[in-house]
Amino acid sequence: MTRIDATNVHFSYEPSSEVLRGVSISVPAGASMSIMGPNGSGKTTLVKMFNGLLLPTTGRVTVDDIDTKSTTISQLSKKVGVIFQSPEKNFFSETVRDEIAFGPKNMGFTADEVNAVVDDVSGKFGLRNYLTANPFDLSGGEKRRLSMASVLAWKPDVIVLDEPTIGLDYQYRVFLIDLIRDLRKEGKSIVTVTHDIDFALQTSERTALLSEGCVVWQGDVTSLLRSPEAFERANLIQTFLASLCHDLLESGAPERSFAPVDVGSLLGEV
Amino acid sequence: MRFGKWPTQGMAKESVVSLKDVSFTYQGSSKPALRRVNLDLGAGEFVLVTGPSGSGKTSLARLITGLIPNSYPGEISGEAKVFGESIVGSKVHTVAQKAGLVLQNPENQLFALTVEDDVAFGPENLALPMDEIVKRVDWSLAMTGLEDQRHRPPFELSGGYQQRAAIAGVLAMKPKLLVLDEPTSSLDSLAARNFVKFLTRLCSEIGATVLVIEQRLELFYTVSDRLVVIEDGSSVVDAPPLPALDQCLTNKLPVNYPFSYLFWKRYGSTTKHGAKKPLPEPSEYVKPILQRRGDRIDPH
Amino acid sequence: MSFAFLRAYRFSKLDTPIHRLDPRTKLLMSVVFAVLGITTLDPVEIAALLIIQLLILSVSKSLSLWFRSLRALVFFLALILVTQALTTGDPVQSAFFALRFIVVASATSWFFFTTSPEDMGRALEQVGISADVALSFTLSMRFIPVIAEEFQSVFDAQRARGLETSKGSLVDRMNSLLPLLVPLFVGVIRRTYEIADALELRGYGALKTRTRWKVLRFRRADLAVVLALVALSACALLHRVGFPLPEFFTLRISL
Repeated sequence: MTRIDATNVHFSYEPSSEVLRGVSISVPAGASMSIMGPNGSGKTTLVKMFNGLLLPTTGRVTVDDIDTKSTTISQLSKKVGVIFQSPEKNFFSETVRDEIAFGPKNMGFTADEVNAVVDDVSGKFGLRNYLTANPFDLSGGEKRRLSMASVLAWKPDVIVLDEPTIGLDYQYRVFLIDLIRDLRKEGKSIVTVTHDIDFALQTSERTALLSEGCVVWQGDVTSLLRSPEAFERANLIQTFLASLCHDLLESGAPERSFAPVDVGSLLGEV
Repeated sequence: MRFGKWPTQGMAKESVVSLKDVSFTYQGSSKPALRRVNLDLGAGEFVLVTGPSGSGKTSLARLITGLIPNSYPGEISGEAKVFGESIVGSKVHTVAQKAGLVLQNPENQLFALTVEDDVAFGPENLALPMDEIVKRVDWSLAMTGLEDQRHRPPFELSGGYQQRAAIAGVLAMKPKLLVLDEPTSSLDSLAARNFVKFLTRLCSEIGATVLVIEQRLELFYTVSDRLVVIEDGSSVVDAPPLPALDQCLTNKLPVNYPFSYLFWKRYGSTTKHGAKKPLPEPSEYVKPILQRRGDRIDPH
Repeated sequence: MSFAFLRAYRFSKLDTPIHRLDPRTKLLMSVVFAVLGITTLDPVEIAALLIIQLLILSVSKSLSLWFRSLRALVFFLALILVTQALTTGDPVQSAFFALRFIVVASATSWFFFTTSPEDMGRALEQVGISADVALSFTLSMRFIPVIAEEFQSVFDAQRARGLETSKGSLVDRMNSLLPLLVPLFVGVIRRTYEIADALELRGYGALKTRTRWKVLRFRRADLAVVLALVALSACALLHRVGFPLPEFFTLRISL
């Protein structure tokens, strides 16, 4: 199982402005984690370090104890699959099959292995009847499922979702929450980068709050819910759900029901 | 804070938008984008529109502001009027001076190389005299709080400021109806909350009627007069926010139910009938919502 | 991937006499210098043109910017010098052609260094180019950094799926461009539809003429420069026609 460690990472795009200022963060094997922070806090820059797209100016990032500086992006991507914002904008193939097969082919899968994963993943995402269709002809929901399938096809150990909730409707939100739960059951690590606190509360057990390039809080979601001043430090707002959980925890509700937060049982139970 | 208040009876409401059984199919498409939509907006209202992706919300926005059917040809039926005049046959630029549309991606609405030049773009196109253009630019920039940014290129602005610059550009056309398509989609939670405050203040200052298309209901439902849900091209719910959400729940509609609403729904009525366990002390989010039940017209 | 080369002709906001000139004047200057440079065969003329250009650049405080922009010309300069060495081996002639290339290529440099992009658009409009073309020009400039960023996103996303762009045969590398170019083009085309909608909503094209809220004004300094350009062209013309000048000035190139 893969773990990622970032130690005292500093990074600047331009010499005058530092985006990451001494970030130390750990993604343990099999973790379900969120990295929260406002826009411009450096969250996306940080996760680009996880698969080698960016290298720290100073500090170290290791994936399974291998320094990201000493290996390539493709090698790292085999273990760490990053899904960026609006992934449906990156389609380029003529068929759905080719689009799903792109990643595994690049990773060196044999033709038989490629066929096997395409079959497997298209089944999981309900795309088996669309394999010969043109990706651009799919509906909005089908496109999003295809973009998920394309990254999960080579079965990375760690899956990073960069701002998955932007512009989402209710159905896709539910789809994502269920997907994350399924992936957790398979033992994968999930890292969700988001500014949507409610989504993070519902999908992660551990969290790190990032603000202006620094980690202002790191730990269990439950502890965060107990100490809501951390939200303010990170320039985030304490949402209704967060304050509700805080109240419930303070009045003695059992901690196990809070990480991740299951709204259904929460509102039903109490 | 408006919260489901209808204008009191006796006051004549100017009809801003009047859609009666409007259907529209884009040219070359087999499925209608809008199916017998009915919608009435009165002057000064703040209406929230939501619904699943692809349900026709953007088409509705395009219809109200004249892009449909003038820029997007297709089959249209039914009666569509904005400020009393039919959309069909009106030119886009005529409608744009009555109904302004702020599109989803602010970047694609900022054309010029400085903010002030961009705000001037609309008035320039309307061939207004130079001193009128200068007045409008100054006014729009003041209304949106962008005076300090006027000489900056759009590319250098943060998301929140880009959003405001796009709005300033539309304001310079002096519309009385403002339609915004998912304005907070690119903003983080704090910026989004500030945006809601900014928008409500702006609209009350200029006396505009507002229609906001949004997925993030929790931000807007406490400041809206009505909530309209669009599904499959039709408006399936059209009521003040709380009754509207109740209807959505009953019909199991896929909308982003605000947690505060769900909590109120769960606990709001149990204070009367007695809860199973003693309730925790409501935080500041819940209190106003529990209190609000007192001044609503229909005891739900 | 650095897009530093886009910075080669970047505008820097300073307050020099050159910056304050009407962009149309600067455009005229560029045209005059380019034409004179292309049509001459006289190394003395070229040297004179180059010296005047360097003066203009130093007054507008853009000498260092210009020097950096020369890096883009290095390849062609080398090509010229090599061709000359192979054909004639004449050092004076080589120097001449190299310098002429620099003079002509730099003729537009101060225009870009000292004119803000919005003034460039205005200059085009007021020179008589149609509003549509001028708008296309301004929109292109406005969206260059946006498209560059979009390309970077696509590049990142495809590399995260294992795309390699610098390995393998030439055919492999060409194939690796497809996952980059298709999404980029699709994205750009989608964007143009949205921009077209937004333009309509702001009334573009509704009326035959549009007002311009900022108009470029010709000032005395501009008139002085135009007269100087006329004088310069006159000197060059007389010089070429063979007006009697001291022998030192009649060093001509024989082809």
